[in-house]
Amino acid sequence: MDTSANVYFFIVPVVVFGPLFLWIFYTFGIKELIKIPEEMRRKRRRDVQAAADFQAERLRKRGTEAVGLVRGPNTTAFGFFMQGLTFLWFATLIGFFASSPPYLYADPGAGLIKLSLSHAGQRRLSCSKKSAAELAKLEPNMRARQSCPRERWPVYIELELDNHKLFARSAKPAGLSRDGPSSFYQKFSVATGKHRLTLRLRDTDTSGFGFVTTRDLEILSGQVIAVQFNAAKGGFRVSVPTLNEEQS
Amino acid sequence: MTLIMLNAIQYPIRRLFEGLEVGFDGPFGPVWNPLRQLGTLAFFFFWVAAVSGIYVFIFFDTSVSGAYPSIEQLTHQQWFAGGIMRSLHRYSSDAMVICMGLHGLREFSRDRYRGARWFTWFTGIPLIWLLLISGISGYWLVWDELAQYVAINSMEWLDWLGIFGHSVAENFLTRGSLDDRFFSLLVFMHIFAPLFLLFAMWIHILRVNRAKSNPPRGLAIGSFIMLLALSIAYPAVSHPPADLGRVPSTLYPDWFFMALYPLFDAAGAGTLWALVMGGSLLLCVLPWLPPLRRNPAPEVYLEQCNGCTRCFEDCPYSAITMQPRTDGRPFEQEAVVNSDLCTACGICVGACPMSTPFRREGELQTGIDLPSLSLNTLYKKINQGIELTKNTPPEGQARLLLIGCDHGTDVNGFAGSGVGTVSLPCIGMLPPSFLDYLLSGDRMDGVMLTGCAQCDCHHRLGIEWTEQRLAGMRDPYLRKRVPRNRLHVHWAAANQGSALGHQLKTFQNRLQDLAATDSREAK
Amino acid sequence: MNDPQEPAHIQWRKAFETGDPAIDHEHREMISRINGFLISLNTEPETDLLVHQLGDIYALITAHFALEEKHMRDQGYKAYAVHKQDHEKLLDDLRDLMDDLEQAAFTKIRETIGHRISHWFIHHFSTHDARWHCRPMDGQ
Repeated sequence: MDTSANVYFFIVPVVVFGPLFLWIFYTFGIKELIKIPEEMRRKRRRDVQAAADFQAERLRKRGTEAVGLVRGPNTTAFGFFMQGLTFLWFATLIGFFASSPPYLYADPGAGLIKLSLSHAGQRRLSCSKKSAAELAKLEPNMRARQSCPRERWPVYIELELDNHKLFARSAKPAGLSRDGPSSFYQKFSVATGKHRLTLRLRDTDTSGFGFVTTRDLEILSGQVIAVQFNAAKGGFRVSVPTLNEEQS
Repeated sequence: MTLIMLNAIQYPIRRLFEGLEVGFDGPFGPVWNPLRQLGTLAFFFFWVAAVSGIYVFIFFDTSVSGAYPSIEQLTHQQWFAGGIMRSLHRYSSDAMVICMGLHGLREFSRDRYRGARWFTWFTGIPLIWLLLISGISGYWLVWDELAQYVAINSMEWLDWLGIFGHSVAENFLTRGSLDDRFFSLLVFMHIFAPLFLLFAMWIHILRVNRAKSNPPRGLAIGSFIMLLALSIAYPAVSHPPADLGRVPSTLYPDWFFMALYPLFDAAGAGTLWALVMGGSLLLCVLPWLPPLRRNPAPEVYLEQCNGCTRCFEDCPYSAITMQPRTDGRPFEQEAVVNSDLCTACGICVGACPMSTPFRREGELQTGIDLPSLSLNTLYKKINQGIELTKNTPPEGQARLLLIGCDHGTDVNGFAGSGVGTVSLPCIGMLPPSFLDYLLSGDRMDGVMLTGCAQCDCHHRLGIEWTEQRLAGMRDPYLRKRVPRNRLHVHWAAANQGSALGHQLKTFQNRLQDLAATDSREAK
Repeated sequence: MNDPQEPAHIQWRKAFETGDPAIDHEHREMISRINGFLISLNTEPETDLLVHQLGDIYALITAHFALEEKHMRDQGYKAYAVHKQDHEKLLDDLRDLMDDLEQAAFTKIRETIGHRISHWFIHHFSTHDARWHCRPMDGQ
């Protein structure tokens, strides 16, 4: 994107319409709010002047006649030098901790498998028709022909890397009526190199797995392999981003 | 029991601050001492961050793909302006974190968060989180590796709550999953959080009477030059650009904002939530742990009060209001004390014109009086001090009364050898007529006043009011007839006892010389 | 006003009325206390009672002056500084008087004390206070 054109795109309207806007704002509103009565303005000026005079007087008379050894700000050359040193120390503190010490987050010799999926299990009970007797018992506005219970089965997932089970867990459906999707979010740090990834998902109560995917991967250093799931699109989806040679 | 524990924690921190403050008083002078201006400095750094942030935002591209290149261009191609602004933005916000942390610690160590001050403390705790959120959301916008790390960790942490319906960390799963719309949400947060922070800062100082939110000009200029020099010498740069297909290995975090993230990595979301919520809850209820035994608020005696408003003008906590008369006397107003805002400092007693020590029919009474240290009791203590000095000194030594406060140097340690001592909750409680009383007749050779260090009155305005009353600038004036050469003032912090002792000795010697001169002239 | 040995009592005059009920109330109270003091001066001199009465008068006058000054400031009275100076001087004089009494220099001041008090009280009334109350908004 052409950044310079971008800048004018914002600056020109601000410069053109800004003063107009502000003038309208001021004339029709802000002026009354921020205008201070002359009397108050004069009093304020007198108070500020009196306070400044008092401070000056106090410093002039310091150490004598009932005024303590009060000090004003240190404006000597040596004072500024010492202030500079203090500020230097403070600046070093800020500058250092703003980007140090470094933090080793991930092992450079490892990659990451991220499992993130949300899938609704099958309904536990199928829809059934209501008999005439049952319908008669209900209120007239509640007489739906079919009764479809909402509850779903929990979803069970297994993740194997090179025949070694990294993850085998079941997730309950979300929601108070247990009718929402079941969610998984998990990260696995894996060594670089060739691996076989096997994924299995079961979303009913029958044994066996409704969705199984196997994939051979070559995991590079720092690579993030994302595992998602979409039943409509065939099941598991493993995204392997390409990394340039320099990056891995 | 809890009080002892609390004091045990507060005491070393307070001593540390006192030592540092006295140390900084030298190069900066008390008026510019940054350790006494931590709150105002935090405000100042906020404004620096706001202005520099607006500048940087003008050039910022809010799309996912354009964010990083726009910041890079600003930092490197416009290094003389934009780059400096960016660095200023980063370092001023870091400085604000430091000032805020020190400020909270200092006020905690001085016990200035309980009783009437609970509101200020309570509204200060959200400021911590708002500032951290403001800073962290700002780092997201750069969309470099550090931003990626911080964003993903933050989203995973939020996901633990399970309140968003679906996982927000999913937005960062693959290269294509972060869209411009979600990124705009992050941009919005970085604009909204600091605005909300400013609003919360305003609320934080709402109940503070005569609150200062601007540091002294010299200090502000010096701090700004410091940030500018740091920005030029060590400009802020970005990490390599974010890539959701890669996990960043080595990071250089801004520890002022990101100190909790490694803890998240090590201990998990649940632990971090417990720590954050538990810690915040503890901080929020701190004003009530342990229950504060408060000195009772002053009482107004309407038979002595004519509504002259001097106590109202002087109260540092706005705890006194003037209201229409209720006792039928022909005066317009009467003073009314709001005990929720009052800290029993006694400055109102010092301001009341009826607070005079000259004997009257019956006990001394005044318009507004502290139950814990009534005017009558103060009068008795002063007289006890006088008696003490009459009994102790060797021949020729001057007799003087040292009047101090409970928060500066402990004056009671100086009693004896011609010196009597009285300690008040605040030196501003001393009515100037008492000085007139002490220095007339043959009661005392001299009076020395002390309190907290300059610019550091525990009750905010005691030193200022006392100085102005002595100088004849603030009612009640110290009478002109009172000999100023027999009055000495020295402000000293709690850890400056030796300096105070030295001043005391010098003053006593000066009084002796004065007495000698007087007696020679009399002859 | 007649016998130099006997200090005169102050009688409340219509001219003392300022129109402000609070100020008038305090003026009346001050006059009654001062008159009480003058009576004690005649009947029981050289006792602690005089010292106490002066202490009460001092406190009352200080509070009264504080209220007057507040009113003057609120009204933006132009001659405020001059009027306040007179208040301070009166209080200084009163303090001198009190000290003399404390140090039992009673004989020194007995003749003059009554006159001094009633004199400067009335003087202050007829000059500064009159100026203020008759013409509240200008400084002429």
